[in-house]
Amino acid sequence: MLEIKGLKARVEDKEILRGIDLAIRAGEVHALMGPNGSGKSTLANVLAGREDFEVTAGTVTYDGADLLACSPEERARKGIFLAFQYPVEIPGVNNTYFLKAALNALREARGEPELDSVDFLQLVRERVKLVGLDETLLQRPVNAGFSGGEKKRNEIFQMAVLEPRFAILDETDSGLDIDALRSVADGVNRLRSPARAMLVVTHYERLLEYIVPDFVHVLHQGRIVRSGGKELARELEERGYAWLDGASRNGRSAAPAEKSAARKSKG
Amino acid sequence: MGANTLAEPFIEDFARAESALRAPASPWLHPVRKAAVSRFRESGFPGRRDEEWLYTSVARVLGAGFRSTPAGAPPPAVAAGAVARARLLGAEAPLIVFVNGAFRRELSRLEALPDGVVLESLGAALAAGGGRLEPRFARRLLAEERLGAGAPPRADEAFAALNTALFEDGVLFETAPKRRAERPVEILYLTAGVAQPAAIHPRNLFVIGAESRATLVETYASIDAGAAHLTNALTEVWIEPGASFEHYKIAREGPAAAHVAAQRTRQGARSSYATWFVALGGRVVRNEITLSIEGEECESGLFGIYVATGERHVDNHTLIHHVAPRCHSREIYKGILADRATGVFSGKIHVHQDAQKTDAKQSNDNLLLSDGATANTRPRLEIYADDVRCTHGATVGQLDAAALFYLRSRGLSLAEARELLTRAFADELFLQIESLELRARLEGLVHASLPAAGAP
Ligand SMILES: Nc1ncnc2c1ncn2[C@@H]1O[C@H](COP(=O)(O)OP(=O)(O)OP(=O)(O)O)[C@@H](O)[C@H]1O
Ligand SMILES: [Mg+2]
Repeated sequence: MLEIKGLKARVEDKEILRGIDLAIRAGEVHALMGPNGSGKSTLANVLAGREDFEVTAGTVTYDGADLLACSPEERARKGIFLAFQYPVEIPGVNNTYFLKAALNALREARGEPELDSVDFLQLVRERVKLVGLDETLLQRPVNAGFSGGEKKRNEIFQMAVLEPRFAILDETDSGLDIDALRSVADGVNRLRSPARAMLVVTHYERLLEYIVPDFVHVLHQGRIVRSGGKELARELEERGYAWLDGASRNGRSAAPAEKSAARKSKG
Repeated sequence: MGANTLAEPFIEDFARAESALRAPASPWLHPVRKAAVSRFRESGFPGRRDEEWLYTSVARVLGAGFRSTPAGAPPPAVAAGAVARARLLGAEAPLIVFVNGAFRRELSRLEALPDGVVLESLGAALAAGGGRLEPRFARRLLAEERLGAGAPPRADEAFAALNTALFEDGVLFETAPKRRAERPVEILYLTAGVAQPAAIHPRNLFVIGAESRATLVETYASIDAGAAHLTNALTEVWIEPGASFEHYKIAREGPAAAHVAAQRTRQGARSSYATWFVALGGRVVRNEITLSIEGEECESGLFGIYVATGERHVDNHTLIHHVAPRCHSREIYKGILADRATGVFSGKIHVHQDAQKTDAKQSNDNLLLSDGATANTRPRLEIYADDVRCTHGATVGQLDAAALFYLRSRGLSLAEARELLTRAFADELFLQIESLELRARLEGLVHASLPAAGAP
């Protein structure tokens, strides 16, 4: 479904992604872990089409087509969704109004008829319960004055309404209380299907107990330095990332793991 | 062209129209006109270095020149649809209509006025003997008297002096004391195609009686988009003690029109006042508001929104005099500027010595939708009292890139995302309007005037 090859990206003069290879097939859930500043959000944003990052090398194909040539909205209309690490506050833009415009843009792209207000409201009511978002937040401007957890829930709520084919969750679990974590996980698991895939960025193994990934990757200094199954997450939880300093000083020792993981994830 | 060459035609206009302008029933008026024209002759128009006209050139306002329409010109025909299209309020609201400066009773709707509310032609009132209007007419504000009356003529008062000398008609709006006129009334100044670029000088006098309450909407619009004309309006507003007045002024004249206006308001004790200026049209717009808060414990709000595209130029010039103690003023102006348009905001707050416990807040935010657009913003505070709270802030920025990306990442096109964010920028201001109906109507009007939201 998604194939990343040799992807390098920088912002201004700083190279952040330094050669990423990753293949994600329909039906799979991949977890992406790694220390602060390793480039996880950068990768997520590059995939969603943020123009602040300049792609200097590599390719990304999605459903066999060049993804990097697409505008952010084209990607969204192809079913890509990014749940942001830091959702932006947009005062003056009503949450419900915005979501209806977004859903209808996606439906149009999928060749489906526009939803009228009644059907839309019914859908919203149902999904809002699913993710445990306070319904009054829907009448407020997008994320404006939301608590950290409310913003995260709002991202998952949007995801539940838009039903993307490929979802990227960037630390959606950070700052969530236990109940919220569970409803986020429920929202994600509900979307899991053989036709869909997901990339879940997280620092915590706990989320991965609810959303069990097929693969776990470790990003370090802009490269995937290790990949493995879900047990890798537990190992990281116990060992931390200190061993990575060795890995980065001695890139070669990390390389075989990376290659085998890449092979493995292509399956 | 020098400022004084520009002045000459207006002095000629006065000489030509002088006898027609006489109102025998109001003998006090003619000396006022003559004094105004002689002040204008002495001061001329403001030059390039005039402190109050730094960003707007009079030569640009006057363009190829405008002449007053000769008296007795036949009134242009106006389709009823044109009136309906220019209205902000619903058909049932009382309405007074002027076309090319002349009152048009047959287009107005004055039957529905509630008791104690006067909405009529000022020219007619003066012709019928407007003795009671004399003390209200062309008077210095208390704030100006405090600062020294009888000063030499000033160039920045040139347009106002011209209006006093040359006005033919305008609106007299009065509410009787304790009269609560809950339903808003509406004024339309329409300009139809004219053979030569015409100067029109509407003159308004609003008197909001003690403890009464009123809402008024005033629109300036061109019927023929291509018509070149100058609107030079002067509005005097008296808000008596305890009264409450909401005033909405909308300027949406055609792309060849120049609009210059001065609004001079005084507020009596414990009164409340909200005045809006919505600038959506016109080649050059200059709107001055001078507010003299003369009684204590007043509430005042000055709100402005200006939207300009192409080469258009909008200049908002405000001056709030806090003369009396314990008054609150809020001033919020927002500009949306596209293409090579220019927006100017110059807002001065003058806190006089006795105005202790003044609380004044001012802000001006500008959204630039393209690289060629310019915003000049100039807050000015002069404070002579020691126990006051005054704040001001100004911003000039573009649409937030992170917000744009967020919206696009959900599937909205770039154009939709820009439009949504631009509307949001404007809509924040409308939250200041209590009446949901008025808010919705103004929002709709402004949204329809926003530039097509393409990439810059
Ligand atoms: N716009 C930018 N300008 C300059 N540097 C940037 C920019 N965006 C990201 N970076 C830098 O790129 C590096 C990677 O950032 P990124 O946000 O991708 O990290 P991350 O792995 O998501 O970290 P975290 O776990 O803290 O969220 C960091 O050093 C960050 O400071
Ligand atoms: Mg991050």
